[in-house]
Amino acid sequence: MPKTTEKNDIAKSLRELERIVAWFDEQEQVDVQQGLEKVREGAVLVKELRTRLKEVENEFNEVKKELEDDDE
Amino acid sequence: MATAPEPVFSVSEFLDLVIELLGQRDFEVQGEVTGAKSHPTGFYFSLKDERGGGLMDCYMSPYAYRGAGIALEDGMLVKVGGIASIYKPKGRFSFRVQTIQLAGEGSLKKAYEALKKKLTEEGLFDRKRALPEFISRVGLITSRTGAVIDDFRRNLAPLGLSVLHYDVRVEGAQAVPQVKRALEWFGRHAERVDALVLVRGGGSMEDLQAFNDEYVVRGVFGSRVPTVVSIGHDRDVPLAQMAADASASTPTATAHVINASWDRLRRLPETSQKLVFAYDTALSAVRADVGGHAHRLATQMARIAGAADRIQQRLGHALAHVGHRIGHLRDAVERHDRFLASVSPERQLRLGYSIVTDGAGSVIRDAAQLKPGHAVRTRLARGAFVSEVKELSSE
Repeated sequence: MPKTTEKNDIAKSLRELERIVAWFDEQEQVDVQQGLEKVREGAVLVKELRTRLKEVENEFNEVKKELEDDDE
Repeated sequence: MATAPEPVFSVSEFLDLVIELLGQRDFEVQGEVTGAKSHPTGFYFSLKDERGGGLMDCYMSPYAYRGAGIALEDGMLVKVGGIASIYKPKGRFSFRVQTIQLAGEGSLKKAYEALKKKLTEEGLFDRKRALPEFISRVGLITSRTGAVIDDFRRNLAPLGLSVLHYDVRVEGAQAVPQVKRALEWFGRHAERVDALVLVRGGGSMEDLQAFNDEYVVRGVFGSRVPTVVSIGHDRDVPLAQMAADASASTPTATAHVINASWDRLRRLPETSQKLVFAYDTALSAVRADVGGHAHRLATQMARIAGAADRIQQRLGHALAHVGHRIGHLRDAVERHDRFLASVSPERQLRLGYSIVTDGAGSVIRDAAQLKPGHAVRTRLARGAFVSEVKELSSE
């Protein structure tokens, strides 16, 4: 079921992103290199999430429009 | 003067003369049967008076006996018709019986009951055919004289009916043979009539005995067209009437039976009115049904529409929820992105800070990690360079 997988992907990516954010919060002093890697990982996740969210939003808008058209 | 001598007859001549004299007219004689005896050459019996002691030998030819339709038994009171004669070989007086009728209630009743039982067992009284509809040609067997025929004709409806009348005696010695002949005639000409009517006014059992005659009863039953028989009677229904397909009490009622075959046509105006009314009623019922169904249908449609509206509403709510959720997710992603940007070492580089690493790529955080002459790599916001440590200080 692709829909479920997509949904899981978003949730999973978001969790990873949150983990990275939390990691920064936990560090008293951020190791520059590790920080850099985390930031890069985070940047990849943000990009992915933006893309996926944009797709979902488009899909949502289509459904919404269909529903509104039926109303008329 | 000599007179002509009286003729002298031989016995035969004399008997012939007497036979001729006796045979010049018919007689009817009534008496009680005694010594009844059937023989291939004929039926022999004697008639005697109940009182007075007279006795008379009688002879009936096999043909006449069969035609009479009466099983003669000793003790029966009968009225015989025929001629007186002499049986020459024996010189014996004999009455040659041509017709025979039962006389006296007792004999008639006994014969009636016996024949009724016999014909009932044969099923002659069970079959009843329906009279045809619209009888227009009536075969009528009755006497030309008397009120019966007038009553019957007068009460027939003016529908242009034709009546084919066969005149018969309806009582007396001639009744049975004539009614028989009439039935036979209509049997041969059945195609000329639609129904056969046999009718007679009331009378005593003796008067009506022709209609309790076996041959007449069978003739009625055997008629090729349906029969209506109406014989006026007191107690015992004449057997000919019992064998008929329909019966009536009087000649007038008989005419009404024939008229009734036209009822459907005569009721036509009333029937057509009924038809219109029935159609109208049926139409109203259907209309009411359709109205009811339409109303129920509309109610159901409204219910379905209501359900659809509710579903749409819930769908709308669900959709709004999803929309909010997407918004939250987007906000979270953007927030995390901003945070990552704020904590990113690259930001520090852009602010003018730089990162120094040793030959192995480890970040130098403490000058103690270095010695003069070591090569270090400095990364800037844009680009990097390698330099050599000249001097160290611990501040």
